[in-house]
Amino acid sequence: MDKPAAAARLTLGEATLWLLPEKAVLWERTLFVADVHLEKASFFQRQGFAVPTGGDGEDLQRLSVLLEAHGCERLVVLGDFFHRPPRPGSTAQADLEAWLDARARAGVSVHLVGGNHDGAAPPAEDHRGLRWEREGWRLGPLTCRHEPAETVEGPTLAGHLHPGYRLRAARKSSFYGPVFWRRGQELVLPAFGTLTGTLAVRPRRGDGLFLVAEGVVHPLPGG
Amino acid sequence: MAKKPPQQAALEAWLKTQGWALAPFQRALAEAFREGADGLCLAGTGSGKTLAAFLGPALSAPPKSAGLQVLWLTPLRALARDLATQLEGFCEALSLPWRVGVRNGDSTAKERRQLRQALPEVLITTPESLSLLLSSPSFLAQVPSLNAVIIDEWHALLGSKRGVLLELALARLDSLAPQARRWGLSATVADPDHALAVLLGPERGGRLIQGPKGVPPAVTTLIPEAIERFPWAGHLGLRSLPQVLARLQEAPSSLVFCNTRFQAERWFEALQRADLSLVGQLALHHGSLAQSTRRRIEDALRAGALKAVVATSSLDLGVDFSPVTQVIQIGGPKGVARARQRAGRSGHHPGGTPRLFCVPTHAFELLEFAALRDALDNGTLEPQRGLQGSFDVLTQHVLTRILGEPGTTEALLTEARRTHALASLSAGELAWVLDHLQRGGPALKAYEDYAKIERDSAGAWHIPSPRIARRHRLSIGTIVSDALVTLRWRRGGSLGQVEERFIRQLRPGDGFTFAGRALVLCRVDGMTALVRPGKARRVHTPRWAGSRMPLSSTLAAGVLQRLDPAASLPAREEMAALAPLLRLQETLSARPTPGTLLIETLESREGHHLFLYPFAGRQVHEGLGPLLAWRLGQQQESTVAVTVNDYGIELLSSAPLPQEEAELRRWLSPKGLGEALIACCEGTGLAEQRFRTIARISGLIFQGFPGGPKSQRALQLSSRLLFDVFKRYDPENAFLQQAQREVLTEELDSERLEGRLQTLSTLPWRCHHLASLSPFAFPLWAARVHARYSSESASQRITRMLAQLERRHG
Repeated sequence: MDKPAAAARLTLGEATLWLLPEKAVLWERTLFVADVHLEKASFFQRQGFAVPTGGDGEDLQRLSVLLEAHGCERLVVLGDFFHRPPRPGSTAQADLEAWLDARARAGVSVHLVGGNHDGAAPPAEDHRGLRWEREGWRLGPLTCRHEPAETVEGPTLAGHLHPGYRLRAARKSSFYGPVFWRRGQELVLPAFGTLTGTLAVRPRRGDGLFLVAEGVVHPLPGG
Repeated sequence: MAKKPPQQAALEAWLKTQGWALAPFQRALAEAFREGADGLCLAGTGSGKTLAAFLGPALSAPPKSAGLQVLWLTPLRALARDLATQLEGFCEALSLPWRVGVRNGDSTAKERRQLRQALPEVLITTPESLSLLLSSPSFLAQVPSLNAVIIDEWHALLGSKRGVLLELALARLDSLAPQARRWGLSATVADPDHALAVLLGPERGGRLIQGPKGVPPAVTTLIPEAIERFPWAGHLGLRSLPQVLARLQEAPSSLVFCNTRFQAERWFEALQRADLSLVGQLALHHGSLAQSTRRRIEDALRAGALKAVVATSSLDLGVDFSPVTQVIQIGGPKGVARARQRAGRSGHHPGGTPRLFCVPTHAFELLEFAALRDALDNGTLEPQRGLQGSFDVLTQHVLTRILGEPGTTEALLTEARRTHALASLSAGELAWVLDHLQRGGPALKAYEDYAKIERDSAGAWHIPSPRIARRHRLSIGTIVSDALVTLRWRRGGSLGQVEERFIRQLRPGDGFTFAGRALVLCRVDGMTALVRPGKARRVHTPRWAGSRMPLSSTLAAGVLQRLDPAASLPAREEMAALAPLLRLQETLSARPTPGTLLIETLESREGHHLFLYPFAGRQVHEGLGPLLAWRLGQQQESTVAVTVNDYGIELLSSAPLPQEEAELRRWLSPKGLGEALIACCEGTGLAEQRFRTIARISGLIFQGFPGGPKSQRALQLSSRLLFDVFKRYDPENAFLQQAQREVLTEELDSERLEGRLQTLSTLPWRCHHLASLSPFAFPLWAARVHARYSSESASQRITRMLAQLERRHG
């Protein structure tokens, strides 16, 4: 597969992964993202805080663009697709269903590995095209998780941590941004959603870090 | 003349037995009150201002008890208890059958219940608690009998958002009890007429009554022994420990003031370790401590049981502790008014005068102390201006107001316009606030059940949802900019509160100091942090420790004057002690003076440094630095790190900086300042921080229910994210605009900045290329970056950084 522009290559076991600057991972014809947190703004609004909406539409739009640009057949969300599941009958629910319909028409299957925010159990009614998978779902050589595990058996992709890292060079020279974090055979993805923040990680010796900044993925030295 | 009320007779009898006579200002205030006037009385603590203010309402008391008569507002909870005792004493002496009650954050549930049923004749409360009371219909029903509202320590509220909240509360009281007279008590301020105008608002006139001015303090600076070895930067000042110890031993009781809590904790620890005889006689007092602990310390201090109390601004205001004979100030107090206030906490024993010892924490504070003493001698004070245009406070107040009683738009507008802060509030601006409260403004997708307020059948605004009402009550009075996390032992019991920012830097297992104890963080659960005792040796220092209080412009100007070799000012030992350092500065570079602008350049492995010294104070520099960096970035691709302090600015650039005077002068031009400032402020994070504060005050973000569920953590949005989201999807938001405005006027003091730029652009310049850091440059070099500006792409920056790392390790 050709190298996508401005991406970084990472090999985990037998799998060749492309780490995209849009904070997603491309493997064969599958796109992986983590922590989209749709409905976060609405969640705030339901509590009585006037946080403007607008981010959700943008997130779904970004996903569509990515899926089309790379000709993907499958989208895997590594947990926290929703910050809170949308209320049935709300405008947000309608928008989501429309988006899922469009994916189905384009021949893209959407899989969600349930995260702590998505809801306690898969909903009784399956959204058309949204398939709920269990933690540790196997897809070829890859294992898909929401929360990273301490020990893994094979190449694993996970989310949940919203990793960020501060690169320090000389005094008073530093740069902070979201990162892909490779710990052994496990790769933790940065959070995809607009309203998500990052949490600074403390990498161990031998870990790999890939800093995402302005449309470029920079592999960092060490590990 | 009408028959003398019984209180008058009792008063005269009482005064006779005490052997006192009323001071002229006390008599004048009582007279003015009787004539129905409002006003402001300028008098320091211990001058008899409490009696002066109480006499008026006391002497005009109706014959029979008739409900709430006097509302006494004091900004500090700690003062309330002592004040109540004092007023009860007065009531007894004047044969007034009045009850005195206290209602504030420290009141127990039982006390609150009792007060709800029947208010005492005299109610002492804080401005925040007053706001809370205004949301309660049962309180409102008892207000019409009010005869007097006394606002104590007005100088402490003037110029802050707490002051604005109070102004709005007073305007509300006005609607309910228009006959009540309003009197403020204040320490000396720079502009008493302005202080009066802000207190009374545009529709009321009043009188100024001058009380005794207070004795100026005796000030001594503890000069360090070997100035050559004394650090040029830093803020702890523990080097002076032996001298401070010596002073402590000489006096029966002292107050040791530190500028930050971190400093206070370290000094407390260090003093105890240095002199074991102090253990048990030394206490640590700061605002984060649990109330019971603070009370215990205050009682012990009053009883003379403590040799010294190390404190932060928590003890700035308060009833005086007569055993205290001296105040030791660690580090520069950063303001003349603050220094006076703190010095005035001593010398209240018979025949005593206030005594202040100044302890420098780095060499240049000697300059500040010299300037401080000049200002104290001349009676100069910092100006304090009442805030205007605080829509966030207005939003909070509107909710409070209509919680108590529904109000129409016209009523709300009229009331708000009675305050100085919102005198020019337009109907359109109020409409925006109400629209925001009603549906969140236009940027909210039509969200079916979002509505904080609604019109009722009579057309007045009210709050229909009990849940929203409950949540608002919990956040009434929120003005602080930081969310607070409660520290609790694992087995139960709380130690106090600490800023969320502080805790967020720690991981479970990290040690830190609080209230003089070594603690270890176990885990954070929402807004509670569980801790266990730790070992003192393994303490991790959170990175943001350090004083962020800027030097006031008054003192900054004084410092610059002291650097002028031509100025004829009284000789001071501080300047004599500093002479060797200034000579070194002259050798390596040149001495900064008011008549020139000193610029120093230096090349290092880190990049190209440029230091300049406007001496305008940190606040102005926080605008000037970014402005220069941003303008530089417009001209060439570079990343510039900006560091500021009270004296100067450092620019550290990846690309060479202009060395020609003509180019540099263009940078410092005041032309196009307005737009440039707004653009460059984006890089400083100041607007984000301001916006976050405004979001909390106006109710955009909620602190969280006490002991709330874990999902509260999900409610946390970083300031940066919140700001970005609003900028992108709701740029017309009035709170955003308020944030930007406040950055310009409050943070950067754009007026002063412009003035300073004007001056700087006309001064002759002296440029020096340094081989090594000069004494003035060093503190800037050592300090943390304040802001970064980059006109390079992130890729360029990162690539360069990676190359630097490779050179270092490769």
